[in-house]
Amino acid sequence: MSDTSTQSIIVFVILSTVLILLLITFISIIIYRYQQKQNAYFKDIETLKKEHESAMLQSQLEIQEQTFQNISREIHDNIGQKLTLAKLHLNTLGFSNIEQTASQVNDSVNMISEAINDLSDISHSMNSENILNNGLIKGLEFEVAQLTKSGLYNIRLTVTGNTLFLDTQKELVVFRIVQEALNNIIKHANASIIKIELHYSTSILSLKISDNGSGFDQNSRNGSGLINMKKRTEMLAGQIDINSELNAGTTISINIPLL
Amino acid sequence: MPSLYNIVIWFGTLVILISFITALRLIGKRNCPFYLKNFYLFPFLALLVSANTILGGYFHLFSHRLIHIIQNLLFILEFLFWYLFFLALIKRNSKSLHFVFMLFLVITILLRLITGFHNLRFEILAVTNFGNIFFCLIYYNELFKSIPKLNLNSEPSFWIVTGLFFYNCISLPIYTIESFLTTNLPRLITRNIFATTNIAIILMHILFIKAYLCQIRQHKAL
Repeated sequence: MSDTSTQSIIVFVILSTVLILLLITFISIIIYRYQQKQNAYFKDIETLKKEHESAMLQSQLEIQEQTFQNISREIHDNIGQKLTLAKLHLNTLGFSNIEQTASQVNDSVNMISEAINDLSDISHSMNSENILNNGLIKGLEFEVAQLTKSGLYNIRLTVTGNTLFLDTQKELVVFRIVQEALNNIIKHANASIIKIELHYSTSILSLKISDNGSGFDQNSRNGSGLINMKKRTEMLAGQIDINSELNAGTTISINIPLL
Repeated sequence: MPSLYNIVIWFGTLVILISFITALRLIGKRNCPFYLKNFYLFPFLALLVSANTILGGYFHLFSHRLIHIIQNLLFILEFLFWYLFFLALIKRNSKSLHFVFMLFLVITILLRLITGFHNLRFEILAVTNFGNIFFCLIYYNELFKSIPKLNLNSEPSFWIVTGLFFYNCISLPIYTIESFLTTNLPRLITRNIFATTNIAIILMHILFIKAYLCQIRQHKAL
């Protein structure tokens, strides 16, 4: 083999090696930089997830605290008052006037019965078994039936789309939102017509609760009921839209992603 | 005994042929991206370039004039191919792609018209190399700007673009000073320097084969 050929081969081998090393270095740098970016991205996602979970937990605790306050107020203002009055009636029984005594005993029995009913209502509304066993729609139908029985409201529940069972915790939160809305209507709206519309689409559950009540000024500070509804919707990664005008009723629209 | 330079050219043609045959396997594959399904066109063009060089240069089947005209046209077609490839790959930054393509195409055609299509001037090929480098840089920019969810080891587009970028970066300075090299340096050194671009072509096609294999493996995994 001539010197020229040998030199040629040596130069060729050196050049090829340098090129291959260059290529490997280049690819390694790109992959390394990309992986660094990827790691930073996943770290950010993890942090966001943790922050979200922490916010959710905080919301859950606040809602729980609010619920305890509601129960406490209900027991104190309603049931406690009735029982105190019944006790007062029974303490002041004279027995000299049999008719008056009989009327006092009757009143006491009625008050105790009402207190028992109130307790039963609270217990029933707090109990989640109905939702867990029968699903959201049955639970809502039961609530509607209870309100219809009172004779004070013309209430209608409409369910459209392809209904499906959601995760039970999700259904329970939706149910609590509807309960909160109905509670607000009963307490503040002075309404006669209530509509609950539930629509299942492929990716979204739409819930609309409207009434023909007195409405409220949306610029004023939101009450705990509305705050609870907003927090519960946030827990489901949904969107809530509240529309209300004085003397023109209120409409609450909620969209909850199903996927 | 064949020279080393010729061996590199023959070996390069063999690698391009393997690349072409492997690319053909992707034509009918489902779940295969559009840019990869039609990728066989590039190795096909590269094969034509090689065939033209071998048949014209070694077997003297056509005149030098015809070889150069065919070669010049094929280089423009290759540039067009890369433009369409990046257009299918990068959806968001198509304005930059149009601009780079139009700019470098106009410059190339003008230079070819001035120097004559029958002359093979590597300096003009450097212009399209420049364009290809810009395409690759746009791709890398998009890659690092987008959400980093890809696994680059099994991402065909990454291997293809890296191969292309590498080849163009190696060949650009060599093609740019082609006249200087051929007139001022001994033939042995010039040949070896030009052999470098052929090695870069071989490495580029090896990376293309790696890209096809990523897709074929993904397809088999499905």
